[in-house]
This record gives sequence, C-alpha cells and structure tokens, in this order.
Amino acid sequence: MTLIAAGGVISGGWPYITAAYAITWLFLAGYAVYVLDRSGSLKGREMAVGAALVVLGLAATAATFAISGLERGMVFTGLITVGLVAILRGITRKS
Amino acid sequence: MKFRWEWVPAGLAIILFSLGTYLGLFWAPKEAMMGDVGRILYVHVPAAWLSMVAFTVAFVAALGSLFTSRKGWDWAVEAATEVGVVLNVLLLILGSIFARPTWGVWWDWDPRLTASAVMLLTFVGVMMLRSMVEDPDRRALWSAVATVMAYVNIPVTYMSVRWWRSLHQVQSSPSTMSPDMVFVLRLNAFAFLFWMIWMMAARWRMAKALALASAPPALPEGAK
Repeated sequence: MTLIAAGGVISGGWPYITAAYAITWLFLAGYAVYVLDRSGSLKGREMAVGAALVVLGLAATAATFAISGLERGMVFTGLITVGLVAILRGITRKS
Repeated sequence: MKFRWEWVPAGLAIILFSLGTYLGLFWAPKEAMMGDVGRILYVHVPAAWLSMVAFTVAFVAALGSLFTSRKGWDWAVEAATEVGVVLNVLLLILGSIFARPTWGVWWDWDPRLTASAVMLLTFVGVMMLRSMVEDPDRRALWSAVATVMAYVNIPVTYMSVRWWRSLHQVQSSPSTMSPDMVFVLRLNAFAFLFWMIWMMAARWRMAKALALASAPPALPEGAK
C-alpha cells in the first residue's frame, strides 16, 4: 500500500491509526481486567463491564483489520500479541 | 466498599485517556511530513516513555531489595517488571504499525528497534527467573541482581537514536513541535502514567497476597 502523496507528505493511513489506538485500548483495558480479576478486586457486574470493554477493543481491532484489507503483517502482529499474552500468563502463574 | 487510594489514578487514567484519544484522533494537527499517520505518536511515544519509567521503578526497587532485603521492595520489582513488559510489548506493536506506512516495512533491525526488543527480552528473562525460583529469599536476591543487569540497556535504548543515526528519528523537542501536538502528547503521557501507577499498586498488592498465601505457617511459640 503506497501512502506517499505529491510533495512527500504521507496521505491517509487511517486503518493504521485506528488499529494503533484500538490495540492501545485493548492492551491497557485488557491488562487492567487481568490484574483486577487476579487480585480479586472485580466482582459480578464490574467483571462484566471489564470483559465488555476488552471485547469491544477486540471488535474494534478486528473491524479495523477487516476494513484495512488485512495485510499479513497485521495478522502476524495479532498472533504475536496472543502468543506473548500466553507466555506472560505462563511465566507469572507461580509468582 | 473500602476506598483505595489507587482509585484516584485509575479515574484520572480513564478520563485523560478518553480525552487524549479524542484529541489525538480528531483535534491535533496533522504532522508536517507524516500527515494523519503522525497521530500514532500520541500513543507510541507515551508507551515508550512509560515502559522505561516502569523499568526504572523496577531498578530502584531492585536496589531497595538488595540493600534492605525487605519483601515490599521485592513485590515492587515483580509489579514494575510486569507492567513494564506489558508497555514494552505495546510499544513494539505500535512501532510496527507506525513503521509500515512511514518506512514501508513492519520491522527493521535499526539500533533503536533492536535495543527496544532486547529491553523486552531481558525483562521477560527477569520474570522467567522469578517463576523458576521457589525460595522467596533467593528469588528476591537473584531477580534483583538480574533487574539491575537488565537495566543497563535502558540508557542505551534511550540514547541509541543519538549514538547511531538510522531510520528512527531523534527525540523531538517541544520547541520544534506545534504547541497543540505537545499538549496532546503530554495529556496522553499523563494518562499512561496514571494507568501505570494504578496497575503497579494493584499488582503490588497481588504479589503481597500471593507471597503471604504461600508462606509456611508460623511455628508455635517454644517450638524452635
């Protein structure tokens, strides 16, 4: 995808921008839910709201990828994220 | 419900980040060369700053743990390292998304990118070390030493864009940026900072609870 317009200024690129913001929200909200859940701070309705925020972030990320025409790098980025979360969960299980 | 002080940074993080997202996406001016894509810097740069701040907290806590052997410092190492790793992973993903439209590639073995990847690997190593050592005293000692060693890379990562000129730009100065851009960048940086404080406090309490739960029961008086 070429984004360079006349004059050397990059034009467009909104799928990248929205993906960046959606992933940021997903990470920050997702980790907050993970920590608050593990520390027993979230109960009932709060947990549902937290989970809904994460699902919303995931949906926004997925929609962004779909709209942007799914480049392989984005898919790999998503897979790496899932892998890293799994590793994080694994290595923090005992600590 | 009992009030906890970290609800204050939690509330500030949510308010500031909601505002920062809106301003970053729709209000801040376009970057001169990168156009709208430059809006990614309002989340990418704070993630970079705060991952380094989190690792600095881990470093200070590691020194505290080494010099005092107090458990509270060790729990702080655990909390700060994990929060720093989360921010570091986010930083690399955002950097990758930023790199594609601006550099034409998802990744490059540029000195800054490589140093940031090494920063992540070394602190993941600290976390792995913690999970492998059962004895709490040894775990505190070894992970504190490993954290101090891992921290050596942080100044190198920060200075890499000055020491080795390459694809990644040198740090910008507020004097070379539009005041509106500086405002949005600082707003998001404070949002990340409050989120980090909130998460570290929650994670510290979790580390304390886990440590106390796994501690052997105290011997009855006169049993020694």
